[in-house]
Amino acid sequence: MIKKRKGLALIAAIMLIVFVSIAVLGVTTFIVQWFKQLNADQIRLKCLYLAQAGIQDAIYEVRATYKNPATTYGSFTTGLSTVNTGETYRRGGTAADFLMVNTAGATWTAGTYTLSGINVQKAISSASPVVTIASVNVCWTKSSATARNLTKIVLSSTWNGTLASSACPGGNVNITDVALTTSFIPLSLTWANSITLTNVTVQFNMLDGSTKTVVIFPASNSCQFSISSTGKVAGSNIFRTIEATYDLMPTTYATTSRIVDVDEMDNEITSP
Amino acid sequence: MSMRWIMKLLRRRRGFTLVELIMTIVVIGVVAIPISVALNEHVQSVFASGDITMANNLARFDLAQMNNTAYASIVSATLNNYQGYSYNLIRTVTFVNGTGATAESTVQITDQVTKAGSATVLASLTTYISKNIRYPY
Repeated sequence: MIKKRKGLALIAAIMLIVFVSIAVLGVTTFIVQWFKQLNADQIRLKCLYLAQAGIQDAIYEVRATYKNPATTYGSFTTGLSTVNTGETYRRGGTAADFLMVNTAGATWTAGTYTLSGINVQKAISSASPVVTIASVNVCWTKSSATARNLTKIVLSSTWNGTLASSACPGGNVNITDVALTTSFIPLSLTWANSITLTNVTVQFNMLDGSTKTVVIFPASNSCQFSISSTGKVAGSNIFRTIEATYDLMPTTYATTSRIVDVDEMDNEITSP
Repeated sequence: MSMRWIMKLLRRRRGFTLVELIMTIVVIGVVAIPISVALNEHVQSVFASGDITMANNLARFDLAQMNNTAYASIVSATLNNYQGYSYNLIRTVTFVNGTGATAESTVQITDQVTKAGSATVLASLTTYISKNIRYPY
């Protein structure tokens, strides 16, 4: 008698299981993704404030070690620091970021056609990354049709030669490599004759390939460096990186020195 | 359509067997349990995510305020029903560099947000702010 009956309810129930299982799986996946997203948003927010912590701490270090005009404009350390358990920031950047050029005291001496009073140092006390100037490009404006060649550059060692190029970015002068320290050193440039003293510009080419261009004359109350700081939380690949540029403004340091630019970057600082 | 025809049709209709009914109830029961669990979790998660998002927003709001507060006024505080919401914010400020008396110093600020009446921390943000650091704006 049982054999004669057709089981419809069981088949319907099995189909129901299949459909409902798909629905449950969908809802569960949605919930899991939702919480993952929520957790990621939380971590991203934490990372942003950790990156800010790195910037603030670096500037504190610079300010705490600033001695003007004695020997140094101050410095900070690079690398990994822990704020809370599992919450860190790492500070780094390129050699050009850490190059400080103080142009506040730039002076032209007419008798010798020399531009001096410019000081150069690195902004980090850490050994890594190495901050070394490999070459410079100098550009200036001639004061007449007659050639006004650059003949000497003094930066730790002395380069003597003849550089006729004046248009920016200027001819490349391969000076002896200068490994900078946290004590500033003077930079001076000498020409064969007088030049037009507007926008004398030096592009510093660092050993790591990074570059920094600074208008060294006319004198301006400026001495800038940049810091990149990445905030991270342990157990996550999420990171946020902030780059800030700080200007010491040496002649009015106590009242005006400030962060002049802040940007968020896409790349993670992974070294040193 | 006569009444006789309807009665005939009803007599011919076969009902579900007892076995079919029992198995259907069992199967639906088995399926209903995970469904109810999933739905419950879903509803709970909606509430929880709302709380966490709100807590994060309040912590972020407070840190943004601290970034624009005079350095000497950045102090520890417990702020119940913060900004009129049913959340409590505990701000802990400690010196990591220097002290309040030194020319240069840095404070660590940790904001923890809980739902009013609960000890569970929904959001926790930490940053540093240093003395004498100015922005161009």
